[in-house]
Amino acid sequence: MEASRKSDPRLAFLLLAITTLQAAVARNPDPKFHKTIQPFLDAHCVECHGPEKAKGKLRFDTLTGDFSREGEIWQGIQNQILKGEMPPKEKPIPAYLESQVLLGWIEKNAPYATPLDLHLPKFGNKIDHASLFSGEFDQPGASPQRLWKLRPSLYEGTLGKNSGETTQPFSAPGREGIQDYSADQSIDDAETLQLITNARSTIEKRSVHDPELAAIFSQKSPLDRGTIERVVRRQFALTLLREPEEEELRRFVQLAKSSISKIGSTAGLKNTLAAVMLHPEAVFRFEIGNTKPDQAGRRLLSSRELAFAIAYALTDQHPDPTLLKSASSNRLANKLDVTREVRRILHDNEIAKPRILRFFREYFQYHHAPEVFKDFQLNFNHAPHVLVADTDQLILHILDQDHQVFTELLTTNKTYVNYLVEKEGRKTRANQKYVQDSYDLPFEWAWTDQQPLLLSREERAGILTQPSWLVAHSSNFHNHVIRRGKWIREHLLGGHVPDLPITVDAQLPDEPNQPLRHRMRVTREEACWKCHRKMDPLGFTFESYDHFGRHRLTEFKLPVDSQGHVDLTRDSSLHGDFPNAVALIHHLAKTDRARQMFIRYAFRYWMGRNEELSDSRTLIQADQAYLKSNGSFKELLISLLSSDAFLYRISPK
Amino acid sequence: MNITRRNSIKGLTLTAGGLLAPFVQALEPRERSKPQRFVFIIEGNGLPPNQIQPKGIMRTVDDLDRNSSSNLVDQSIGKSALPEALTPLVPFADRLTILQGLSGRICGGGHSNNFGTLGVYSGRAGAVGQTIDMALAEALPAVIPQVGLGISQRPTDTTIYNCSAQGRDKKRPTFCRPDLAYQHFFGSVATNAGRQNFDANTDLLDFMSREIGQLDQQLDGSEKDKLNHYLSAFESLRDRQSRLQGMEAVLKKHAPAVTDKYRSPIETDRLDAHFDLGAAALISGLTNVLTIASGVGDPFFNIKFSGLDIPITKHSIGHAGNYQGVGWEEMMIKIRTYHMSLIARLAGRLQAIPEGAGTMLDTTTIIYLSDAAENHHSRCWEWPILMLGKTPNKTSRFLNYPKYGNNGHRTIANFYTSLLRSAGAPRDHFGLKDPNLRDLNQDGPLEELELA
Repeated sequence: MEASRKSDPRLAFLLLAITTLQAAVARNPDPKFHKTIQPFLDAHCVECHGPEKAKGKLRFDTLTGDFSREGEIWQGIQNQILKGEMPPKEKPIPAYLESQVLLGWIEKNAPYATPLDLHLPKFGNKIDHASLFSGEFDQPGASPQRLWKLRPSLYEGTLGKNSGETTQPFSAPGREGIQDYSADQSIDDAETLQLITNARSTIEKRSVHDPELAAIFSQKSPLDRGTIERVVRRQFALTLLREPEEEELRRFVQLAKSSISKIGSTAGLKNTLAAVMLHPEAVFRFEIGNTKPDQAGRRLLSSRELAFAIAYALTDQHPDPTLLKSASSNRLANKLDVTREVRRILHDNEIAKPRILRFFREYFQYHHAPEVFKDFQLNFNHAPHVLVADTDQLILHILDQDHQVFTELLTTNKTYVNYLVEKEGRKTRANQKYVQDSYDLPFEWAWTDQQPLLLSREERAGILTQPSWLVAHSSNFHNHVIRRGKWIREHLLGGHVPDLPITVDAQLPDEPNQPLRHRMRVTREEACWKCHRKMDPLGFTFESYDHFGRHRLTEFKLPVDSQGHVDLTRDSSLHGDFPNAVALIHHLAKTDRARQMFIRYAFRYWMGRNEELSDSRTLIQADQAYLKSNGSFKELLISLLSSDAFLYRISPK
Repeated sequence: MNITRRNSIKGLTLTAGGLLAPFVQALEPRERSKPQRFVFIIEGNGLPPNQIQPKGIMRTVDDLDRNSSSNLVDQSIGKSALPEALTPLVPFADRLTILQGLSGRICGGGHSNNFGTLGVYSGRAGAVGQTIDMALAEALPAVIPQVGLGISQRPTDTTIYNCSAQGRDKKRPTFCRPDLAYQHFFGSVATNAGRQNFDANTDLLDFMSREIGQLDQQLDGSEKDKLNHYLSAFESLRDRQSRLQGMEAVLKKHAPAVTDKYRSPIETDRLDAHFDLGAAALISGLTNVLTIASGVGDPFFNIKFSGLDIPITKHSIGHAGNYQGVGWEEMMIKIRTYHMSLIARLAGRLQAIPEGAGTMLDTTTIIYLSDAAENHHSRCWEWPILMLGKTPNKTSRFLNYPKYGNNGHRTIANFYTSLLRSAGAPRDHFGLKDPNLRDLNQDGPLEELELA
């Protein structure tokens, strides 16, 4: 005992050091916290949230990264960074990538943290706009190697096309905005079961209608290997548009033999053909790239992958014979080849290109108008499906002109009114309505096929003043100032509006005879205004329309107040006060920012992902292609679809 | 010896020997513990508290019509006290618990709290955590851990992802077409196509698993995960198929008869068929957790009940819409009453199956609530809930918790914690805590609900 009391002081020191180390590890065993997170907080936060000031009674120097005790604080940090509220304006901004590391770390560790998958559309604007278009990040771009699940419309146009009685196995994500992103989609057991059912149904149908297959199935003698191979090859050609590889063919033939031995020739062969339709290449688009990477580690998509990528970018169909021929004859191997093919398809009016109009629907979101319920007693003439069809028509008209497309989309006073319904003599309920009421045309107005018509330039400016857009961004009984403002903040200014915090009681006072602007005074409370200031002053400019999209001068017998302003961006040339939406839109339509945001959204739609700094070159080139061509959307699209981001793949980080 | 469902199955397994081995495995854990099942019936568009408030018990409210009770109210109610919407449940009145005053502000409110309804987190965040039905499924293993059925506003929907999640980003499907759900859960084993389909599927599923495994090696990172997800879909279908095959006899016995309702464009028909399917899934022992979602989740809630001669959507009804002189509340109660009649039918079927010393209803807890809490535009100050079946006592009971923020106030998280305790998987807390109630103890189950 005595000896132990007089132990070696060096040993005591060592023990102390071990204990201290153990304590530190026990506090937070995550080395990333010490290496990256704490230094970030020290550099950007501790000055105000440290021992000296402890603003908001928060100290970040004492945080340990233990989420069981500090979960709320870390979620608060996440929220503040996401909202762009912290660090405050007068302090230096942390490097973009550093912030992402911190946000990613919080997301990984915090139970129930806001999913911060920066690959998701809602985080598309988190990249600094000025940096993207500054030209400072002129590096070779590429998209990550990826598997991209077929979107529902693509399933219908390809795998589900020649099927018997099939059911769509996939559902659209249902979020607002761009639907078809590659990052957030996988296939689960329920969808797989439906795929199996559909594949079997398709093969059943083929076994009746395909003479060759019908003949084989009616044959009584055992199937020889040659026949099985021939049928499998044919199914590969139909489903995957390629020959099976030698080894692959052997495996499928083996499946056929195994199945035939158990369940007979017909059922066994059908089973094998169904398996071809379930091949991952049939349900996912494979974008891996050629085997040989370039100096930057990028792989050019193979000719075959390019053929699919081009077809799926513009259509909901398999690549057409010309594309496939180009791919198989080594004429789809570089940027020039891709440009040639994209240009060919764009200029061929015989090829349906539903993807193009769909982009404008997902960008503007006017096609949601029919989903906003309106009491027919309030306006019998409201025909939301017709309004959407008219806006579709207007966009197709502008695309057909292909001249200053973005400016036209935002500022034109042209419109179509009940165009297709009347032109095609459709018998719908819209025939009994005065649809023109939505466009402020008098009841006695007689329909004409000489469209588009011209509306008052003072009252209407492009898609955002089309009744379809206004209704889609309205509530059941009122205008929706917040949704309208949010759309402009995100789609024209490049800002980000976070989700409604969970603790907010988002209700307006029930004052049915008061103007909406007056009822929305509650959003001026400090806690609300932090976010609402980003939306309300933009959305109020649309108060010169009612919630059916009709222009108005008064509300509750009072003159309408449609004033608003633009601020809270880092580009003061965007800022200003505006008497109404038309003035606001005309101002923004002239700005580089709004045009470039349109290009960013087009990038997202056609690349199926959010842009990154490494896409800077692609975006700048697309912008230049658009400007040089006098605002041609076709040239913009050709630039995007022949860009580095479209052509090259790189291993995911 | 009484012939009950369980010992008759046991007899089957003994005589059938090795063929039913997978089923024996599936059964074992349940035989060791007391059987228990949970059924969640979620109806979209909100459940105004007054629509399940017993007659004769005054509801105290503030000027915003929110529960303003300062104390816990805990009293029994008689059959005659059930409000109009609950009249189909009169035969089960002695097994009914009405819960009022629980809040769920953390879910955020709105037209639907989506996954937050059963997960107790923001309804706008997507599936960011496990939902209570899946947590219970984990505690009560079965061949199919949880069966999700439902109807959406689009008759063409096959599966939607609206309220159940195994964990973060792991949404579980709600089958919207009863005919396809029948195929999925009962499949060929319940029909006479039997053995050949089984062999064909086995070959196909095994082959696909191997084939995808080959490609897997070419990829890495998240893309590999996607392929693995597809692979595991085949593996789980394969596994399920084996287990289902092992249950062939019992499935054939209990599989519902597929009628025109299974493919009907009318939503009440499809809902009716789902209740049939769900009952069969419980009775045959396929699952211990059933979730039936009637127009649940955004945007699926905007459904019509034309089968009840109500041609306007629930969204419209929620906005005080009326039709040919019939007011919104009348229509809402009519739809709710229809749901109650389906619940009563389900309870009746469970009650008719002997189990142990009682019936299956004694070991099944049916929970009815709305994903829009207390209103069409929910704010989640209150979240009315109805319980039927395995209840704490043999008399109908009314519980009204103190108003939001008051001492003794409880949340839906406490209610879900009660269910977990009852299932033998106690936790201190379920989901996220309400930061505005940090001064109150939000842990633990509802003490008044001694379910175990």
